[in-house]
Amino acid sequence: MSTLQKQIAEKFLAKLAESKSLHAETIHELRTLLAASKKPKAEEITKIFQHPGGGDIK
Amino acid sequence: MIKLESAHIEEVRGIRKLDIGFQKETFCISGPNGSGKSGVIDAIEFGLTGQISRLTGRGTKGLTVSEHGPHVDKTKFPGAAFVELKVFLPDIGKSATITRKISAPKKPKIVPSDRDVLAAFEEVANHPEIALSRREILRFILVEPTKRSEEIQTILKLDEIGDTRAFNTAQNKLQIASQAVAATLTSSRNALLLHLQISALRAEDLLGSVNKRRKLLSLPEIAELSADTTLDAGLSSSAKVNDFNKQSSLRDVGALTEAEKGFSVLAKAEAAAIVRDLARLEADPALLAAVQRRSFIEKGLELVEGPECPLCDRPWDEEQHLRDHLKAKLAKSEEARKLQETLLKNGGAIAREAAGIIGLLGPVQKIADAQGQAGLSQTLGGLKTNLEGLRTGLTTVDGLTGLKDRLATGWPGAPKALSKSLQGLTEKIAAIPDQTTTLDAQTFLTTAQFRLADYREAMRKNEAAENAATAAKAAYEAYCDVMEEELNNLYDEVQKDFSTFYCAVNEDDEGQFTAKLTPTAGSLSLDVNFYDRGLFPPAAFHSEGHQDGMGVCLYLALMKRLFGKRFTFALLDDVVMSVDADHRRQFCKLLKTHFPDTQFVITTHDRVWAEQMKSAGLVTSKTSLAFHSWTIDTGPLVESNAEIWDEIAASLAKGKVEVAAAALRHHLEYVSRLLADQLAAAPAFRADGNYDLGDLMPAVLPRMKLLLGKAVNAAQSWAQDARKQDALNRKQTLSESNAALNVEQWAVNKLVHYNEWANLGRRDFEPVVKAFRDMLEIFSCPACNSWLYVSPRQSPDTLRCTCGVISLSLTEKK
Repeated sequence: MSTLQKQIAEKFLAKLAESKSLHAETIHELRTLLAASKKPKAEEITKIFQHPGGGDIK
Repeated sequence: MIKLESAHIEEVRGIRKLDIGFQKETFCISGPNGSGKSGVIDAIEFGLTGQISRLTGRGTKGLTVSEHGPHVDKTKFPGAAFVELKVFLPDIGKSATITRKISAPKKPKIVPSDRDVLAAFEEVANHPEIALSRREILRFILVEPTKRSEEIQTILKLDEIGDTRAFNTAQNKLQIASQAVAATLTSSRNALLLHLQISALRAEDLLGSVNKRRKLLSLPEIAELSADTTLDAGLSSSAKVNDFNKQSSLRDVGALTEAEKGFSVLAKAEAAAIVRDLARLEADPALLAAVQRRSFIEKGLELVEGPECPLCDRPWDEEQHLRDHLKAKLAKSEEARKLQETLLKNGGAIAREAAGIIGLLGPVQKIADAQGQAGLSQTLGGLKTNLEGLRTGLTTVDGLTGLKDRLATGWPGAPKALSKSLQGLTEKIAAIPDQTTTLDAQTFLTTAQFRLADYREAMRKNEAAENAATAAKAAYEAYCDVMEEELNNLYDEVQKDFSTFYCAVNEDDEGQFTAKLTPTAGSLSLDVNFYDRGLFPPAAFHSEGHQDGMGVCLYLALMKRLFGKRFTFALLDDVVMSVDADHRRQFCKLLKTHFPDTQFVITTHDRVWAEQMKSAGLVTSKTSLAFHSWTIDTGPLVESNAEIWDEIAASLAKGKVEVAAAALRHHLEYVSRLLADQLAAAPAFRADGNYDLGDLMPAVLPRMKLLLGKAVNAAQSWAQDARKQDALNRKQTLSESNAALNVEQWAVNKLVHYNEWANLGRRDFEPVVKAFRDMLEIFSCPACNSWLYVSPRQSPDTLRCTCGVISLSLTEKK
């Protein structure tokens, strides 16, 4: 991932963490996805949010 | 990044075999159009990246590196076409060699194959933007804002991260999923309300209805409804077995019966709109094809994982080109997009109604089973499955197309006999003796508990779906916000650098130039200041030359932003073609001062510009190469001041007078144009500027004679004997060679006039060659081999060379 892309990804994740609108687990999974793939697929993102970590219901 | 040390090119594009020593320095390759300059750029680009920009992108359909990369005589032997580059890798302080064959563009041989060396080459291969041609610079300047945004995002490698589609698709999918779950929740809620005979699902009302039955059964009342409250708690296991409640069943069947009466008008307007839009599609095959392709291409775009098209398996040279191709197809179908949206919106409305019916069918099917109505149960089960299938079909255009007839004739698709069957079921239930108060209360509680459990489950799923959709939306918005902020910052920096660079090139007439890059949703507007009269699009008032300059400056600003100090290499292929002479000198200054650590390989068809690069110190004789012509058999013919006479002699030795004559004529054309410019000679004016050898040489010779005369007089006045002698010697040689040429004027005339040399003999031609060689020597410096020039150009006071060994004053002592 280029420096600029990395920078945008980092700020994006920091903003999510700051807003507290997402679980830490979800943010962690997004971080892993963005680090692993420069072009994450919609299915992969959907899966992260559908994961229980993406909601409050256990 | 890299610096290029040398290149060996064989059978690539128009080149047969060529070695160039770049020496890690900025390098100029000049020559007339079609002499093979761009072939060198193509070869270097191919060696470094495995791609050739000129064979990809817009207007290159049908061109491929594998078929059109080799020399035209080697297209069937691509293995013979290869490039070997020796490069220096500044980041790791190593030199390495990369050899890449046209037949295997993705498998270069790299020596040494150290991990850091391989990584460095991989990085370069991912940056085809190191090569810039004139065709490409206009991409930044003259395109519409949306395209500019794409181009700049591509060059800055922002296209992947700048593509918010994956996040947007994810949030849309989760939104749709959430709506489907919400419909199920509504159904289960309605079923619970219907059974409890209450109008709102408040805990107080629910407990009121339940406790009334519990009291009858002498069960303790439930004081508070919590997540684990069981409404039939306290009932014996045997009492829980029977959950048939007559009154509740009558209400369930009654609700479905009532709903069935309205099936024919349910979401009728939406269904009619869908049928109308589908008919429109059928009547317009192009629109239909656009809609069908849209879904197809959207899916394909999502599946792109490399340079191979996931839709047709066609290999592309570069993944980005494939993506651009698919995006362009999507952009063309805006009307199709709007129609698709309307279709899916109406489909969604029907899907919600279908979910409501499904919610009513479930309880009644259960009752029918309990009452031994197998046929009705099967009908209801079939209808339920049918409606669930319908819901799926309503989510895609293809699905809607398949449902057209059903939507036109009544989409719920309930059997005609359903009403009668439900009536029969109602009568059968009604005929059942009323349950005892106790049994009624027991079955009421059991059914209530079942439905509450269903509702809780639906609620949990709904909450999870809502949370997922909300979180995805929040993430999408955060991503868009961050990206927009970063892009704004980035464009701000690029804008500043762009203005600075452009001002540097045009400081004489546009020293206060400013530019404004304005990013808005998916587009990037560029406006530039025009002589303090305001901001306008670049093509509004600026000349073509200024636009060329803007293109290069914006490219340099982007590369600076992309690589920072690691911007050490770029290929500039004829990119300042329309920039005039004065601004070219400033351009040289810009490259030298703002990019001192960058090696530029610059091509130009303008030989004067090539010499100006030398005069400005951007390149030297050793870091310049001139092609005088090209043939299909030889490739570029290198013009070398040092070697031209050897080449001519060799041709004459072989009796090839026509080859020698052609080489001499090309050389004279080049030199006469250059000297006319550098000595500020005054040929007879031509409005078309199309001066040929016959115009230029007669102007250069007397000009030099005049300058040397001035130099002799000046040296005399300053008592500079050595310089006086030098000037005198040159003047004398000029006269002698001029005289010799006059003697051979008949041959010179044939030389000057094209195609008349064919009948010249070797002995006729040799004196001509000698006379020209002697004459031209007085125009150059024996130390640095550069051609002499006057300075300043308008009112010269010096005749000098690049290295300063020759510096003859033209001004006498007063």
